[in-house]
Amino acid sequence: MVEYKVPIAPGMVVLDALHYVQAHDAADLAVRWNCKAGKCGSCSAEVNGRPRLTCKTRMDALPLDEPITVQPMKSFPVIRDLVTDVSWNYKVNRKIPPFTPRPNVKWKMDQRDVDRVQEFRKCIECFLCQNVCHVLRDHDKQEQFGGPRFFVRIAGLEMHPLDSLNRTELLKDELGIGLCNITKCCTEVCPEDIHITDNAIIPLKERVVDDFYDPVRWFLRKLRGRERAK
Amino acid sequence: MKVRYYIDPTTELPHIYKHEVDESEVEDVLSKPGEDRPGREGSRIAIGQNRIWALLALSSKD
Repeated sequence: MVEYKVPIAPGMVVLDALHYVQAHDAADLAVRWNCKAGKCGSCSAEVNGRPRLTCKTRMDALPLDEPITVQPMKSFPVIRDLVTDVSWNYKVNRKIPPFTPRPNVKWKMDQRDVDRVQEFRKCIECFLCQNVCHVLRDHDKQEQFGGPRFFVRIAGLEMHPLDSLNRTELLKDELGIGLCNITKCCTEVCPEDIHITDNAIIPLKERVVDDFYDPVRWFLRKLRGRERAK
Repeated sequence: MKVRYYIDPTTELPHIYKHEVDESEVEDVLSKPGEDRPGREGSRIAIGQNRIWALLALSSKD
């Protein structure tokens, strides 16, 4: 732990303080950032133990009578200083079949359907939800679990009215949605206020249960064979 | 702007240091004072907010 004294200016955010440290005390301090406007999702870190975007965390909202701690995201390997290797997320992302419209689809949608998936498209991929998820953070289940970010992406695809695929088998087997015990930590830290648990994970869990554990559907599947990409 | 600091004879450092104020903060206030009025013998009395400092503790892992 290295301590730096930083002058506070009105409107200052934690990322400004890190830039001050780079400019005055530690020119080689590694910090990943890009937009400084809460839109690129690059500057994620743990400020006073809480996962946050440093560009959206105001210094005047933090207690200044004790040191403000800034640490890299715990769930990912550190490359250097505050920069972590988040490439595992991109590997998970590649497992998800992209939007696949039905053949000869008419490109017309109800506004309610548009609004429903629009929430999921707000994600800026800051990976704070992945960082805070107990399944990844405390139990290191990266091999069996996709994480909230990718449940949000799949929710956006599965709830898209013009998409033709069914991704419940992927959710159940490869992305381990059953491991999520809906503690809502991901929702709490989302800087875009996406209702990850309520609007993405729980509806997807319900779809998995319907597809794989509903006895009537189970019986019909036995009769007709496994329904895959509808 | 020329600024002259009272040098503390015991420490031989500007007296402002005893109040945890540094030269750049003095210059900030003198350049943008909240209140500015003439003092004795041609001096200025400038009143303003000095900087608030935070201690940032950075670590790479627990």
